Amino acid sequence: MKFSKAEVLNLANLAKLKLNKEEVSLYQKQLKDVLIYVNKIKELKLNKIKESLTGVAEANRELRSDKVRSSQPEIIGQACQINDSYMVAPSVFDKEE
Amino acid sequence: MKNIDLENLNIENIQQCLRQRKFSSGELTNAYLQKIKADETNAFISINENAVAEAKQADEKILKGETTPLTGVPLAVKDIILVKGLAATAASKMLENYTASYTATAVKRLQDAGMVILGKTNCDEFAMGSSNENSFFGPVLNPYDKERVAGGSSGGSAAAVAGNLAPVALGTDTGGSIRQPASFCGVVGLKPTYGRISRYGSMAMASSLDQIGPLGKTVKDLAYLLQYMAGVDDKDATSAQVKLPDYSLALEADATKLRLGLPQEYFSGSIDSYVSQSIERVVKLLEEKGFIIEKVNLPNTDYALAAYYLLMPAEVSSNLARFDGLLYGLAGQKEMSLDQWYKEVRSQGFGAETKRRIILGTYILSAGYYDAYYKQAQKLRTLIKQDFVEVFKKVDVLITPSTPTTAFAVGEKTQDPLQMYLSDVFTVGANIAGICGLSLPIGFDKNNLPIGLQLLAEPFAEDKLFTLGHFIENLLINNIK
Repeated sequence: MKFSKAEVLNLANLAKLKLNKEEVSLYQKQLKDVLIYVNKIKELKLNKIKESLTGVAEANRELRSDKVRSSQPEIIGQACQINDSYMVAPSVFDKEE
Repeated sequence: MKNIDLENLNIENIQQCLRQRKFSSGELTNAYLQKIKADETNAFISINENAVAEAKQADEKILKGETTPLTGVPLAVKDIILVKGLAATAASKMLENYTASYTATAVKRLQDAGMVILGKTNCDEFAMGSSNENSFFGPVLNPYDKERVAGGSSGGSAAAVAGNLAPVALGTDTGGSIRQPASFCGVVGLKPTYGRISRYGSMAMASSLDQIGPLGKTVKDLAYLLQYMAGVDDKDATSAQVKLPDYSLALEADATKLRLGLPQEYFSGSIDSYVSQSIERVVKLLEEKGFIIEKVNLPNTDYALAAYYLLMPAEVSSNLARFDGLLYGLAGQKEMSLDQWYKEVRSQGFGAETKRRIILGTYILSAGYYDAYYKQAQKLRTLIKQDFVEVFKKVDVLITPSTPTTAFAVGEKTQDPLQMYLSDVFTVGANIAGICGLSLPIGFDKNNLPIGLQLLAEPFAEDKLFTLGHFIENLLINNIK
């Protein structure tokens, strides 16, 4: 079980995190330790077992009807920039590209 | 200002004092707020500026006789649970300036019953941690020894109750985050069954494991809070449509009718001798009262923590993807591209443990590893559930330690996340299996630090926990060591 620096950086990129050098080497070691520990589940034969999404029985779940209820403007009141009732986000593509 | 002794207050004697006009809710609230201002344990992140005004409204209701058992009783709320108009930081820089725009259902129900919110308590960032050292606002110190941690993640709520800064408090428990700090701070804490209380308005950490629950000085106080908070809520599809018992009856029920079990796996391995001796003493006292206590087995206990540290980070990485700095929270700069914005905001806003779990979860959910880890852990969850189902055919309540040790020193485990994770070893099983659990103080170790006993029962059997917990409380009062 080993984590390369490139792997940690790739995971950070997927999770939209920017890590400095110290963080990369720290997480490299710590993630390895945790994975060695959790790898103990590989000792178990689980191929015939069904998955459970939660702890309790899932049978008594009843979904409410899907009705539109507006919670604007309260819910967007803390957005960084609002135009009318729209939230403004930075551009997806770099201008130079 | 009236001098009120906050030392021995509980819901019933507060209610009695309010009705007999010994003090008003306004005066009581003021007394707690003064005490919070002088607090040296860092239990609160913010206080409710309207608390006294809300208390005065409660006083008017009391004058008119429009009361519930909770009218005018102050409450502290973990800062991961939303209360409209109050700050909700989740102890994160990400939400340092965030104000909640709605109220959690659990809190709303308590407010409707007349409770007064004192303020928001400190916790580990987004409820991730076992020591409360992962808070952007600094660690919570243990009221019994300020060199030691209060436990986590609901450390502020536990310290607030232990330090008489609030009579009762709310926390959340994803892997032990109510029971472990309750144990470390010598208070009572309940993790209700998954689905018993609506999670609406509690910031999601690991949605399949999270539950809101109460902390207090007595089992009875927890029963009062659960009675009002519990029940189905159309805003949380996982809140369960299960009959809500009258918990006051549970406190009067005959405890000796309960069949008790000691899961052997919880007593092997690295458990401190004074913790095990303390549990053995309670077991002996119960046997003297005629209880039959059976040794039972939960064979997959050893794997529960491993399953937890796969399921939880996976859900964390998904849930925390919502913190992008656009709709609320920390923001980036205008000239940034979207990718730069995300990375800047998330790197600045999240602390070390949060980033660690997000990266771990991203790994667990990534193509090629999903089947080997997440899917396997979901299957393991089935086995762990089955273990409990089998055991609860034989016994009603399980007795275990809450934690392997008493409160550890501040800084002792921060460099070694795995060691920190191991302090959850006795509590995670209940979250994975969705059952309910209660931690109860049963004595002190040689350093005068509280020791906690955990009681576990099948889903929706909180009443059994209350019956036995209340019995043990009385048993220990009569057998002070």
